[in-house]
Amino acid sequence: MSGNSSNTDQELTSLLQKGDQQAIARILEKYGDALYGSIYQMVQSEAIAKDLMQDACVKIWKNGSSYDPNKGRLFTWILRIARNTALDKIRTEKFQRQQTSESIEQTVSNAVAHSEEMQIQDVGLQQVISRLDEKYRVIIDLIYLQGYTQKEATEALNIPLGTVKSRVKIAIRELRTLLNDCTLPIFIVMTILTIIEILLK
Amino acid sequence: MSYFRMDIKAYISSGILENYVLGSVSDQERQEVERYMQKYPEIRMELVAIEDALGQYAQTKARPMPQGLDQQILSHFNELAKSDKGSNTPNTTTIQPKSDTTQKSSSSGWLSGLLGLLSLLGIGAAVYFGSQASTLRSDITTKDQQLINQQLACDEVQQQRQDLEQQLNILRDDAYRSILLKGTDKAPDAVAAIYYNEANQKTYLDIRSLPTPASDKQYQLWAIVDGAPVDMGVFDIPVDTVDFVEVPHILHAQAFAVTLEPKGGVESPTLEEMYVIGNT
Repeated sequence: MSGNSSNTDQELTSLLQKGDQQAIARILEKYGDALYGSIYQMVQSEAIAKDLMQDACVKIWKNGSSYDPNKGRLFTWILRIARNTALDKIRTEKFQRQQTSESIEQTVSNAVAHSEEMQIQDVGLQQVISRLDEKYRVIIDLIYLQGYTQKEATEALNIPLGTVKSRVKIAIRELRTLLNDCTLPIFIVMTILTIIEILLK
Repeated sequence: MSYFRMDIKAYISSGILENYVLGSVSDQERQEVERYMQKYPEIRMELVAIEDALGQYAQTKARPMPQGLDQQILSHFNELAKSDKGSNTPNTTTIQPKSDTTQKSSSSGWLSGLLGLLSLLGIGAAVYFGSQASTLRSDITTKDQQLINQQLACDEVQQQRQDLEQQLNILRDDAYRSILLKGTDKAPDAVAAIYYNEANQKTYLDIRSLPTPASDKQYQLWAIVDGAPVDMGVFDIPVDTVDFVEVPHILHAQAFAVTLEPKGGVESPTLEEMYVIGNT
């Protein structure tokens, strides 16, 4: 996902499956900020998010041998663990979940404010994603990054379950269309970079 | 054969793969998806595409970890390793990061030249096919968007139909008593209704006409049991829905009333702020 080579997930997987601690260092390097982004969105507190990151890393490492690359991407798997770690915390601590439309707006404006402080490397991708309709971004944020169930999303957004279901489907389809439209330039850039890399050796 | 093809397409478009990646499937559905993805490459490819798109999305929502957090976590791991030495941490030695793979590239000049040429050809082909594909893709996107809009409209109509059907069933069901709550002097035009079913212990509120409250106020519903008010919760005025709202069932209610209270509700009703009332 970041600039690393495509086999890194394989390397990470094999380190994880061997129970090697290096796996965690590499995961943090590659996916740490994305995991932290998700956890932070859920708990809205730096102190709690830091603890949860640590808990999530321990779980990822302890369960590393159960990750099966045939069943999905490594990131999907580790994000699920991070999300569930935060959800457990929210449930046990009787954390107030943001379920009013007001705080959904808050989430959106936080997301907007936060995107402004994003690092320059993701600006291109950021721009592509910003073309996704806000209602689709909100539904992906709630369910994918914050671990809402569809029913919880129904209550939070005050829309029927049927609409949540179709909105999820459409949101992902739209996201894919937007990302696909920008794959050609990325492909060219990657190819040029590969050539430069080869020539430099 | 063609039967299966159809089936796979239907399966892919059902939305279950999206839900699988989002983690919103039951265990049974999850196992089913995992079985199908081993069996049908189309399903696997589709899943990977969904995962990658969402992964990129997550990347744009990344938040830089606070300074030193990674070190803090790694030193926590070192402590863990010290405390249960050797038990389940067979490999605590540091691994050289992937730089050792570069040793393999003892490629001579002509080879890199050839690779460069091939890459240039690749770019040419990519540009050519890319422009062809993008025209087709924009056609598909337009059609896709039309289809999506239709589908969304259809889903919403279906949902509304289901809601209305449920309401019709309540109105037709003799087990429900219909209690009209009429406007008080404060709001003579206000009106609401309660559908009260003692058999299945369900109660619905039908807000027909209530003035829009100030933003710091909320309506609160009360049941009167043996002369004492019982809180049934606060509600907002729905803006664009005619749905009945399910409310708690209070046994032996003799009357229902709605008062306007500070947001969040109060423990006992403010009688001078009563908007509607009706006896059972």
